[in-house]
Amino acid sequence: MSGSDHQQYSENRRQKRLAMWMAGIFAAVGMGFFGLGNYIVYQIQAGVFDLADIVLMPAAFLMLVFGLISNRLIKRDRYELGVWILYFVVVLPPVAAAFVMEAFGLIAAIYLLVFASLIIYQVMQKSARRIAFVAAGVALLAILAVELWNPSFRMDATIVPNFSFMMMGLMIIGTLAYFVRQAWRGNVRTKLIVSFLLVTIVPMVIVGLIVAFRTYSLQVPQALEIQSQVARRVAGEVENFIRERENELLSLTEIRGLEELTLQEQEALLTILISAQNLYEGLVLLDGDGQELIRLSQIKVFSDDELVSRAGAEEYEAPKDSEETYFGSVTFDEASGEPLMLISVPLFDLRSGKLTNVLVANFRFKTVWDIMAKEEGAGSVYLIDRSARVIAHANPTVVLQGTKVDLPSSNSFTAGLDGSNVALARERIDINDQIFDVVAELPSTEALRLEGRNLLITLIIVVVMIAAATMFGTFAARLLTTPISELADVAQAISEGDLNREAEVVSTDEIGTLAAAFNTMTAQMRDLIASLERQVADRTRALETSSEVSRRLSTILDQDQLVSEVVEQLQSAFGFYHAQIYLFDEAGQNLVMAGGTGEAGAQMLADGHSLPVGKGLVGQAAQTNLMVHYSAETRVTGWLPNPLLPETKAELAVPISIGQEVLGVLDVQHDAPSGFAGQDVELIQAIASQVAIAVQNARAYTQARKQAQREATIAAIGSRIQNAVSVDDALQIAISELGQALGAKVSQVELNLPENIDL
Amino acid sequence: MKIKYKTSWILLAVLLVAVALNGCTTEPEEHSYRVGLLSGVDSFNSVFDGFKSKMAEFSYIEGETISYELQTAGGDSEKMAQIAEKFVADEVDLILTTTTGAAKAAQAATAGTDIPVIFAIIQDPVGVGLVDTFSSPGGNLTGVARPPATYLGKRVDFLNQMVPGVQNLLVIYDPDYSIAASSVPAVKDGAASFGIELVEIPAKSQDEIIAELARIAQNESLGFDAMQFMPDPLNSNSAEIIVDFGNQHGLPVVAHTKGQLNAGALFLYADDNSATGKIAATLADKIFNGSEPANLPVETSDLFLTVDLNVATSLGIEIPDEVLRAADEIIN
Repeated sequence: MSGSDHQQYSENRRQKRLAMWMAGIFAAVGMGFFGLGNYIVYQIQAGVFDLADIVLMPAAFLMLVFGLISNRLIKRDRYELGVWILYFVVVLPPVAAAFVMEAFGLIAAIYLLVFASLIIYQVMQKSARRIAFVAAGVALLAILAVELWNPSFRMDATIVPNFSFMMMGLMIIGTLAYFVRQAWRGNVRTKLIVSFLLVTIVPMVIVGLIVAFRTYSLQVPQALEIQSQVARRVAGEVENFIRERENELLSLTEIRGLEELTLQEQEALLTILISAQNLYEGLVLLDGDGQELIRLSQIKVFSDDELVSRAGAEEYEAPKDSEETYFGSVTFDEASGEPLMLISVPLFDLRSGKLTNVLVANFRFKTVWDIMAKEEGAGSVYLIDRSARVIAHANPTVVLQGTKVDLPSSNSFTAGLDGSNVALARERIDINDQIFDVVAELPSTEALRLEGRNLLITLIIVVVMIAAATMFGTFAARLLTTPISELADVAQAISEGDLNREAEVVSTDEIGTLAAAFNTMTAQMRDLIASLERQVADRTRALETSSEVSRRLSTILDQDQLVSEVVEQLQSAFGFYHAQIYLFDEAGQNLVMAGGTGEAGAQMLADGHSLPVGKGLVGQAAQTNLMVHYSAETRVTGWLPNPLLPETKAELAVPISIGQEVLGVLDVQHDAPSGFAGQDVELIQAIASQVAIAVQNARAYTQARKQAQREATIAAIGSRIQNAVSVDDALQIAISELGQALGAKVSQVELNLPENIDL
Repeated sequence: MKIKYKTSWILLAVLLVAVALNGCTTEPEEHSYRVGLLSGVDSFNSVFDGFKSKMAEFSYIEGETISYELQTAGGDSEKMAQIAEKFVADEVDLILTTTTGAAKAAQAATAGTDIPVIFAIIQDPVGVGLVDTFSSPGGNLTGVARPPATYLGKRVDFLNQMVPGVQNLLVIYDPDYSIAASSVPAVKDGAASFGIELVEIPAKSQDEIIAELARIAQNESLGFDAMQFMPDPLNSNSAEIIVDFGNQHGLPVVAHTKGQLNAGALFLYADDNSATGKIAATLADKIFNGSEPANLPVETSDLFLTVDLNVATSLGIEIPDEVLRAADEIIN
């Protein structure tokens, strides 16, 4: 498995794991929605399924089932099919939700965008993306079409706001997860930015939430108190209004002396009361026994036949017994549905104190509606009776429809008359045991307007801070990471062989130090490599010299020429200050200079410079047949400075020897105090050995040539002598030839012959 | 390939914005409403004035956000039907009717459509089959009803207080107009409480009324000492004739409509047309804001007593203080 194959393999495994997770999460979300749907249907809607439930609950269930199927498929390596199923688990539910619920299109569209893109970019194969995009586009178009069409069957579900919050939460979590994941996998800069954002935003959001919660918890009782005040004020007005009716009825007897008037006068008086204002639906005057004397209605004339006894009726018995005004419970007109209340006032004879009459008025609550209508603003105030039926409201329809409310016992934020959330306060009115409640409600959005504004301001601050944090974070991350990534670039370049790249040192912090150290390291590496290269070059040249010397030595048979060549080659190849060779004289006592470089060499050669064995480095080397190395460090004794070579700082004298026989000494001098490297020494030794052989060869050659010459001369002389015809001639030839051969100026033969020899 | 993805995202973003904008535009947009005003009888046209003024209070600006088309039938049932059908053909947003006949015509014309109808000046909307009940009308009609017909008898009570000694009360009514015919017993019952006898003259046209009154005038005794208008278009259209007859003979006339009072009747005990129109406007506003007429309870108008002292003086009638105190309005 190659590197890129392995990378691909681990990428695939990562993707597979992620896809399984996503499928699992969406299955869980489906299960959550399904559970929520059940809760709503059975707990809130009392088992009634509405359209949204009929469509969305199966959708949620299918989301659960297909989420699980997708998870299994991906696990069993049917990746492509599994991811497609997952994709449709994500794309289809928002379309279904937008189809059945009003005001849900935007949320559905955002949901679709967020999660479709998560799946497309995170787990879907690149080849499938195009189709997935088309599918998302079609789904969005479907949502748009439903919004434009706006079919009437769609629900204005009250759960939408809560649902929206949940969806938003889900989407925020999804987006956060995406970012964290990106940060986890991203480069240093991304990590820094995300860390910076997290460090800035999380506390900001927490502080924002705390502030929002604090103001909320302060505002809720405040808002309720305001409503409570409204309810109290209106309750006071309503109570006063009803008490006014009581006083009005009482004034008929107290001011006008109703009970003392004639029946005709009484009727006239009561007619005025019933007609002048539309306060009473009817007025009835009873005698002391409960018999109707006068019965007046706004809308009907009652004949005497229609007058009945009300003995036993509450409106007669109660005031008779208690001697106080009686207020009946609220009734509703059969035809019009208007609420009415009986008010009966007992009238007594001033002297006897006996009950003479009871005046019964059927009070129209409709007249109280105006009090409610006076309350302006977004809220509404209404009056409910003991059975929680609305009996007064600025909107007559509410009363006439027979609306009943289910109110909490304490002031709170709750569902109001129209089902929306309101700040609701109630104030009780107790009119002689008849209980009414004035309810003041204000839409919670209105009641918490300040809170809303606070939230908005907090939100704006948070958003601005997040924007600023993002900006500063990006800036800071750039500031921190730019040198690092530049350094990384330089390191990359160097690793690729470009040793001349240098990191820019712009700061004095750790990163600056790092960059400087990095540069130093690179420079050292560069020097090291250069010195290594130089050494290799030197070595190569030395080896070349060595082989050149060897080659030359093998061809030069003349000793002087050989010596001269060797010293010249050595000096030029190794760059020595001076090189020279000493050879033993024939007596083997002194070392005579045979060749040297430069002017000093020529001078010494001309002077016939020689050294006795044992003197100086050269003498010591010759004596001991061992190399002698002098330098500032070695400090060998017996080193003699040569005035002709004032720059010498180090000297190496290597004996030129074959076995135990020392022929001479090769002496090299350096003007650098460090002296000679080991490799150079070895090379010089090797050259010295070769010189030894060459010198020996040259000597042997010279000797052999001399021998041959001599023998040729002898042979020539012999031959000429043989050709002599007389002894005298032979002698003459021998002597002249011999003299010639030996270079004698005068040559003569002196024979001391016995006498008997006759030449 | 990259660029294509980018393009796709831009397209999706555009779609998203479109969805968002669409969400914004689903808010109730400025819509100009057209209201057909079907006047059964001209004498109730002040209902429309009250309606318009209250609609203006609700910020429906005439000529901008609302327009009215007033068509009067003058009591002609056929014309009522024609007008109602014209309004339906014009697809008006709402029809407001006065009188029972016009309401019935509008009901017939709008059957099968969802054009809402608000009726006014209706004696018994349940009895004539306009609505199921007051609290839940059930169809496409709702409106403002008058108090039960018994209040017509109550007028006799006031008449008796103002002019004690009345013995015979003349009522002229159109026997073909069901509301008028069914109202006679209410008046009769009221009269009976005071020992007053009702003299009934059924008439189907103005000519018949004129002829009948002319015939009576030739008699030595008229046979009645007061007159009371009945609720039908014929009475409304013959207000002048009847009032003139009463005044000629020094008889008090009890009005049913403001028009009849203005023509010279003694007093009016009825609902206030302008106030009725205002109640109708609150219903219209609710309908325009999405309420269904079927769920809007029929409201009932209040009764007001108006006495014309000038007429009383010319007739030589001394109105008792008690009655004047009971009056909501006194014309003097």
